[in-house]
Amino acid sequence: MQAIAIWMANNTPRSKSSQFSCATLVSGMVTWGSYTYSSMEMSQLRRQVAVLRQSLFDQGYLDEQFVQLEELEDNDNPNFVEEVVTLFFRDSARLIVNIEQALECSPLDFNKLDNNMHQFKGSASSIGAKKVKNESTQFREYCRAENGEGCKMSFQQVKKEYVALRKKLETYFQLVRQAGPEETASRPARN
Amino acid sequence: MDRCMSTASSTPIRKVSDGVSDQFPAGLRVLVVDDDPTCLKILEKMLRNCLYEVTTCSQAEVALSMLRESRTGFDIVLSDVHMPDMNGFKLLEQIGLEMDLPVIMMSADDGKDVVMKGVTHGACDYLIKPVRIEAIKNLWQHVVRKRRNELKEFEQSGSVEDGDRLQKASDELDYSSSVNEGSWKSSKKRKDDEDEGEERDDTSALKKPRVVWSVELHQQFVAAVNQLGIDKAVPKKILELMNVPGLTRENVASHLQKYRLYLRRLSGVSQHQGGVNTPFMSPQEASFRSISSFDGLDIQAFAASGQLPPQSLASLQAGLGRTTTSTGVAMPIVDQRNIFSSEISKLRFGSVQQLSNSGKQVSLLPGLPTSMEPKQLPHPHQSVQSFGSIGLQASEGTSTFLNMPTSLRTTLSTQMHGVHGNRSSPSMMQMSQTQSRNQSLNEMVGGHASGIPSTIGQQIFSNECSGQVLDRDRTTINGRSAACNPVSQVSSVVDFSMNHMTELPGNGFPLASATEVSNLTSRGMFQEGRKMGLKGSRGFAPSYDIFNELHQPKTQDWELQNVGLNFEASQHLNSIIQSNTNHAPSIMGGQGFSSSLKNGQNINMLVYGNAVVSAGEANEHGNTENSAQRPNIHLVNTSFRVKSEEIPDLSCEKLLIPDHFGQDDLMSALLKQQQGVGPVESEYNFDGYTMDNISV
Repeated sequence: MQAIAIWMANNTPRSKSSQFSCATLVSGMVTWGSYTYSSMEMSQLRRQVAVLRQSLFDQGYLDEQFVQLEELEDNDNPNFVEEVVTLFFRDSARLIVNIEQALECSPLDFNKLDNNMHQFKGSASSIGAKKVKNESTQFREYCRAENGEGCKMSFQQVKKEYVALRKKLETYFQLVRQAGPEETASRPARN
Repeated sequence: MDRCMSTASSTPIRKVSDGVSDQFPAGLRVLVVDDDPTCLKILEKMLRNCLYEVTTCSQAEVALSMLRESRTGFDIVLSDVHMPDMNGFKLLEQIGLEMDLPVIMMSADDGKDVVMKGVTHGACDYLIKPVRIEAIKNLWQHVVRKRRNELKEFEQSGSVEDGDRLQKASDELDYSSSVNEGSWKSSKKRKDDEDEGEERDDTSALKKPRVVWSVELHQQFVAAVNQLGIDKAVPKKILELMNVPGLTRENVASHLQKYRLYLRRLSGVSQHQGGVNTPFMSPQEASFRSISSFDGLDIQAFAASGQLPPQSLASLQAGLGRTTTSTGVAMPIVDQRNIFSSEISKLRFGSVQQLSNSGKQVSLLPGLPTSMEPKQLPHPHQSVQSFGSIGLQASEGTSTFLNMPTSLRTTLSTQMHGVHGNRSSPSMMQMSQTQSRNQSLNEMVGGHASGIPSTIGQQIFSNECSGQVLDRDRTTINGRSAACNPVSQVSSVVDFSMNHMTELPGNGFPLASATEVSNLTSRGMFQEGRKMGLKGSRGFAPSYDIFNELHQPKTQDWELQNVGLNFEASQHLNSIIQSNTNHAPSIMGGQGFSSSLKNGQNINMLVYGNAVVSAGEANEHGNTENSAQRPNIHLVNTSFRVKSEEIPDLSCEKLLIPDHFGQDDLMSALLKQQQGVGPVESEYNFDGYTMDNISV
């Protein structure tokens, strides 16, 4: 959570609101579980969620597909987005490991690498993980070119974006949960 | 099966109105296959939000076995391309071969070659991941388009210009709509690709792997397989024997696979299949020929093929000529009315066939609910109505019709289905009629109705039925030439004209056919057409003796109906024949056209006004108006007219339509007509049947 607060302070576009949200966030952390928010705080939390969410789009972590997921959310599956994202990170960890191992083999099995990354990319793109998807695409291009160094390099990028996104989304969903089920943050214009 | 039933029961409601009702896409049964759990979860949710009925599956093999278990359980399949246990393309191919369901491929891979591969393997669409809800919303269009294409292809084979034009138009419509829906880059790109692919398909330049197995080609194939022996036939050797330039081993392999499946469906009859198949094929050939140059029936060509005895060939051809026309007509109608109408008809067909096979009606229908719900009826009924004219035609050319489906299966499964459905519909009509008349028959109808729900996916089902029928023919007919068998079968399907047959002496089918043939060749006019119809019925009798016995108690009722049908059919045939020969709508046809407009069937009629088929239909309707010209026909026509009027309403009462037939006037009219027909009539002894039995 600390990291989140810092990240928010650094990255939230509007400095004023970021100041405010940081304070709220910290207080929320301290009293998590027992603290009941006032309606004022709740609305501020929601605003915070909206801001954080927007920043994920603005910074290119997410794309329109994520909005699609959000739009699928309904009473039957109120936490659909989070469920899907969790599923993605759980399942894709396996692929990451696979690729990591495949990259240590020599000679490189580009076919295998490409297949794994293809699947990874498919999952990533379906949750709207824009940066991860882009990096995966890059990786696959290296694969096709049978450029081992390029693959390894690009894989680091993939992992980096993957980890970054996971952190951001963890934070985001935590905040969403804090803000409660009434979360009705206005959806920003689709990219 | 339970699942199927539950969904099926809702289908009629959804189809009742007109092709596409408000609720239509809701309840579409989708099978999603993807090894990626994330994608699977998202797709499932998307599909559910679109009110589709979703089944998910993470393994291709499992998906395939699910599909095999309930062939009718799904309307469309959505499959990932890359899966560890089975390549998505392989699954696609397998589904195409076995179930002939529309399959949509999806992948994050948007490479043109991959997309092309999907298209050439028979995918009806290729979605680039991430799949968007917009694409999912429009999933149903592929189900509809597939139906349409099936019809279309057949029409094309019939070389009906108007039909082609219509198709074109519809294609454009489809695409434009889909483009609009997917308004983002990749989806657009995808659409374009697909467009391209299909375009080429039309020209059949690219689609080499999906060679169109024409009748001739299939005949060659069957001949080669027979020569080698089905067990030893391998694609390479078959290819060598066939010696067809441009044909690849893959084409043959794929076709062989399909053919084997088909044989398997015939359950143990495989050894005789060679013989049986050829006859089937010949009908097809005949039909095609007649289409291309309708006036001349190429008996010689058949003879050349040498598979069938000249007589049988001739008869087949004659039948074929009719068939083609009638089918052509039927198709457009179906299309316009209900998207699923073709399917429905198939279902009915299946049920009917089963009934006939079992000899004990409804109760025997496996898996089909015997109880008939009024709600369900309207829908089938509607289709029946729409097919009224068709049905009549079918009765005439029944024999030919039946043949067609079977042969189609083996060769052009998709196209065939459409045709098949039409054919079956006629039979259904008869069924409904009977029902109205006879309470005892109600059971039959019930089975029929129940069958309908399951229809949606059910090409397979119908296929099986046909297979069964075939088997039967063989067993019963035995001595007969294979060619004859199919005919008999058809007739049985159509009505229980077979029952009739008991009384009728089983004239040598060949004889009848010969006479018919001669008539056709000489003139190709009305009388000939009528004779043909009669012939079909005759042919039946002998083959179905067993069947007849079973039904004998009820036979009379059936007979009456049958008679009526036959006659009407003959009339239709006349008109049809004329239309075919002239290509310009005959007087009758023209009239019919106008009348049809009145009835509200306009759309179809308009489009196909010139088409042979429409002419056929028109006859029915037109007759009503132009009763003066043909008194006899007039009566019949009136009954028809009633039907047409009813169509818009779709109320349950319409089910009673058969009553019209039952009326004495109609019957008498029919009888008159028969008399006019000539010698053939005497054989049928219709008079006795009709008068006594008609209870309405």
